[in-house]
Amino acid sequence: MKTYEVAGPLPYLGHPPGEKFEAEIEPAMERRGIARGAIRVVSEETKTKEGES
Amino acid sequence: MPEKLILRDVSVNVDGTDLTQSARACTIDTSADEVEVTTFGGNGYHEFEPGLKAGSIEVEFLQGFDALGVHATLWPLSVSNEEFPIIIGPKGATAATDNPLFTAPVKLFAYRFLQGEVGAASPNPVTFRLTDAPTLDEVPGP
Repeated sequence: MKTYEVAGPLPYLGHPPGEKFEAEIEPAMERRGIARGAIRVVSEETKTKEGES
Repeated sequence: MPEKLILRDVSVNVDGTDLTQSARACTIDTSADEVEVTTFGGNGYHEFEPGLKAGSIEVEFLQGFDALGVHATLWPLSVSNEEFPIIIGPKGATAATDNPLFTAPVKLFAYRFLQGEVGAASPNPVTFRLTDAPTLDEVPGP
């Protein structure tokens, strides 16, 4: 799970411009979204779900 | 009274980016080949079974070259021939039982860089072809 920010002027995956959101975006889709400036990665941190070791 | 839908707020999400406000027409077709399986001993009518399936989504966009607009989103997909997700909502982008979001992996065909005439808007009718079975999402997201 990464944290992204909607970098462009259009909503991305339902999130408005400027909003930060956590998601698991498929790598190719993430690459394309970053390449065209739709999103940027805010945090690469991978969070583990509660109960997982 | 059954619903008689008037299209007002169809949502169009291409590879994550919301292009709703650049789209003005949409047609989704999912059909199967008609394979004739008529044999002796029938009832005098041709018999058909559904064969291979195909699906297409036609969206007419109004072309725009602004940052993250229609061209910025679709052109790279047209060049790369990559598969990507598309989500169409009949009544907005929020999934609900009365607004199932049509979600499918697609590839882009028939991208038109520029079309039109003097004094008119530039339509960009685009055809997406399904590469796998679509799903209908009726559960509101987070």
